[in-house]
Amino acid sequence: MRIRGWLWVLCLAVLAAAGGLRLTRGGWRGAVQTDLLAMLPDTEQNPVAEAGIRVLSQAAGDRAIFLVGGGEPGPAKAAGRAFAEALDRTGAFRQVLGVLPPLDPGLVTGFYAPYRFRLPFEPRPPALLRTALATRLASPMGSGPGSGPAEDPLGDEAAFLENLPLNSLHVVQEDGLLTLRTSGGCYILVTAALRGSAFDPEVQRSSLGAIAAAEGRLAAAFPGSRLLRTGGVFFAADARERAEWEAGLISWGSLAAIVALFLLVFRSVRHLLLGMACIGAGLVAATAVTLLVFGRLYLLTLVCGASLLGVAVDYPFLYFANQLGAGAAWEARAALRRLLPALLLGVTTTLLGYATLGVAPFPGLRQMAVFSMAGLTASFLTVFLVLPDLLGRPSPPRPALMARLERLLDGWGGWARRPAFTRLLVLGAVLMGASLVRLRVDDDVRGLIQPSGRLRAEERRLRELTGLSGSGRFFLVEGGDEGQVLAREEALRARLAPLVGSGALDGVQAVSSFVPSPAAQDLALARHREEAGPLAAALAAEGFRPAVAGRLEAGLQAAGAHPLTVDAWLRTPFATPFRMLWLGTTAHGQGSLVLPLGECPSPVLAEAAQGLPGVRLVDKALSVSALLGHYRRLANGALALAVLLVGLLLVRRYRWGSVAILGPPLLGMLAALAVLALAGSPLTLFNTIALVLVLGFGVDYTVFLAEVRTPSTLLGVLLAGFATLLSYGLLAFSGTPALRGFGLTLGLGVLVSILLSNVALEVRAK
Amino acid sequence: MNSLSFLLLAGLALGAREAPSAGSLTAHLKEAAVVHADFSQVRTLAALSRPVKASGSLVLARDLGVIWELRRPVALTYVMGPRGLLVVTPEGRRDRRSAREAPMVAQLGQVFQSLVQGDLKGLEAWFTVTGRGTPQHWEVTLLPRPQAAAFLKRVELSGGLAIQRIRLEEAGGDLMDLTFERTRLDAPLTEAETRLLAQD
Repeated sequence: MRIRGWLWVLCLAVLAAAGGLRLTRGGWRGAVQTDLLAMLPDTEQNPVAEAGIRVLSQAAGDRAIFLVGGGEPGPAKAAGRAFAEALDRTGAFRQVLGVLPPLDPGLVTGFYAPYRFRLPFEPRPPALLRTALATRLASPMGSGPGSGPAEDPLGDEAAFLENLPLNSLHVVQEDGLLTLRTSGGCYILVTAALRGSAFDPEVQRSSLGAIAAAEGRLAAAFPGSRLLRTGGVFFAADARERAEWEAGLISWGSLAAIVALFLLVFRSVRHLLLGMACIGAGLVAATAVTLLVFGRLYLLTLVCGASLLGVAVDYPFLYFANQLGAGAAWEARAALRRLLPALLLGVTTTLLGYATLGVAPFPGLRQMAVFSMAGLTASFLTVFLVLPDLLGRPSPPRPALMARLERLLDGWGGWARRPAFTRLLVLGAVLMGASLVRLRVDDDVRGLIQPSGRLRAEERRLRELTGLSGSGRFFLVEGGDEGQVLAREEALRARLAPLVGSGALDGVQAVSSFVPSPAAQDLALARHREEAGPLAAALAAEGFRPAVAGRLEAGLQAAGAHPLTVDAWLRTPFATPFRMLWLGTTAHGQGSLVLPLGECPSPVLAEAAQGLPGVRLVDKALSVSALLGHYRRLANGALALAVLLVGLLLVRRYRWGSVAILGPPLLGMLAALAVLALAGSPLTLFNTIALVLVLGFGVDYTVFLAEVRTPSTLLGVLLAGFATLLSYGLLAFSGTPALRGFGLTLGLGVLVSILLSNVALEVRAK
Repeated sequence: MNSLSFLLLAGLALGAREAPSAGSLTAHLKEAAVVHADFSQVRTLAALSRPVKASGSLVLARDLGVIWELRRPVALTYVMGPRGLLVVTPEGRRDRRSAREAPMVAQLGQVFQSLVQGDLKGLEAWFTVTGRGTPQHWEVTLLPRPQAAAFLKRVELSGGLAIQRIRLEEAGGDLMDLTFERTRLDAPLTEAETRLLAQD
């Protein structure tokens, strides 16, 4: 091997070492990013909104939630207690909440009592005060929570406390357990806080192991009990497991097919090893460059990257096929020089195709582009720099194979000369074109993130039962200071109230439900003071002792000095589940999140908040979907541009023959689109990207056949096409709809391109 | 928390059903899908120099809810059921608090229903229940568990063939005495009552 070959090997080794250095904690498993949110682009112009998205996803992600039981309350409680204890004993969790210390119900009422005159209430005319007092005293509702009739004669404080969204979950505390009684039985709610991020592979391993152990013990001790679960750790682990399984399927499947092709066609271990070396160089470079650029590998890259195998082997296939065809006249370096224009044209169109993937500022797609481009380049360079030195000797002749290829070339090429064939093509193109009217588009990001059906069903059931909110959307409320943020929240809640009333929303979670804005507090105080005189008279008339009015008066005097603040509320234990709503100081002042609970469509919510200053609905899924749509339209434009550019490139060399060079890939693309339309599958960004690659691969095949019209080229094209078809076609088995669509479109397009590439045989370069 | 009304309903349901140690005392009431009765209520509050009296009638409909019709000192109708709380003034003005807006009320409705259906275990989430006496004269005592203790000290129910008295002792020492009279088990729901219970 010459010096440049060794230099290239050294280069790869350095690259691999540099990439390896990025693998720190957790090794290879640690390098795989299971946080699917990470591969999505920042959709928000406002960094505070992105911070809100992270806060919410963390709050939802750093714990696992279980419902245990499902039968009679007695056994369900015993099972819940046993499960919580078993989880806790493993030590895998920071905290397991199943058995609660007795909660002091006076905590909330005690906190609000000093602020009772500053809590918002519905005012009534002075003339109705006596009736209001009498009604309250006679009510079957009794005194309600709070300070009682002496301190809260009209029940304003009680009404505020009753309306606190403290109990948005349907669970109650029974015997120290969070208990849920449903028509389907009694369940116990158990939550386990992870020791770290749900996306940390070590945390995943230890938590899931502990849960499996506890589940095993539960099944043994309480055979009838059921266990429902949800939490980021399950989704992350599930996504990793499936991605690894799919990547394994694709890589082993492609590898087996490639090895079989090598043994069948080249019958040489040397060729097999050299081919594997090219694939290996491609994979090493792709992984190392990706790690150097991104630090981590997304699951999408793992799956899609496995398809690189079938593409990286294209160039060695073409080169080896040439050797096989040359027979005894083989001269390694001269052959490479002859092949170089076609190889370069081929690699350029394919790299261009991949580059369009990276145009969008979409980390997941960019990584796929970088991975594929690095891998393909490395494979090509290995063919160019290493292979000629190691393939000096001619390969043993395969006259029978060559003769068969010759016949195929004649027969298949002859087809292209028949007018009936051309008419058939035109008719097919017209029919396929007509079917495109049925094509619809879909940019839903869920095509990219599709958790397993069982996990989703369990999560849905759990959320239904508990009333736990799981949607990633929220209103971002911003203002200059705390008071403005709270006042803006109140304006928003007033707009959302009709939606809650009509049942479109289950409820709204907001800090201002717990801490009224200073303006609302001042208004309440002013109203109480205004009412004080008439109220004293009404109290006397209804038989209240004189001291009651006196104490109320004194309380009103003192109330002005102590406003209720967010800080004071944040320090209370009952604020714990809601603390994440308060973002506090941000780049723009102060900010908070308001959570709409329920399934109300986002456009309806956005409409309700229309025109409110400092308030905006943030829906990550919707924003990413909109972005995907935007890039799909961009990619469609890029595809048209690419066709035009490649066309111009070809016209210079082939004149009218360009139609035959470009025709097969275009028909392949059309066929893929027609199948989408007829199958009722929507067109997504990923289909468009696949079409760009069909163009890249398809032009490779026709250019090769037009440039080097030999049986060996046909062999190379068939081998390369088959490997590509297989490795991308295996993507069709992916559980991720986007990858499935990508694989199907690409496989179908490549297949049709190859089948029709005989028309290129008639083309002669100028 | 609507602890008092909850207890009230719990008490009524208990009376209409079966006290734990009272055996088949109210067996004939079990079949009654609808109970009509008159009530009078006396509250003795530390803040007031005289007791507060109120009276009216009630309808207890199994599975549907309760109509609590207050006549004196003010006329007001409360309808409590699985869909939430509805308050109707004599002029027909309706104030509705749906189960979504007021989950506490919804929970009340659920627990209440389980009570009406004879699920006494539901009560034990909130209280320890003890009963004594004979079918002709029985008494049941409810002692609140910690989550109800902030509002209540003790509840006592008593009756014979039908429930007769409920005495609630609030945490602050205030008392509420309810007496039931003219209990009727045979009258079906009127059309107006059915409409009210539907809370439409």
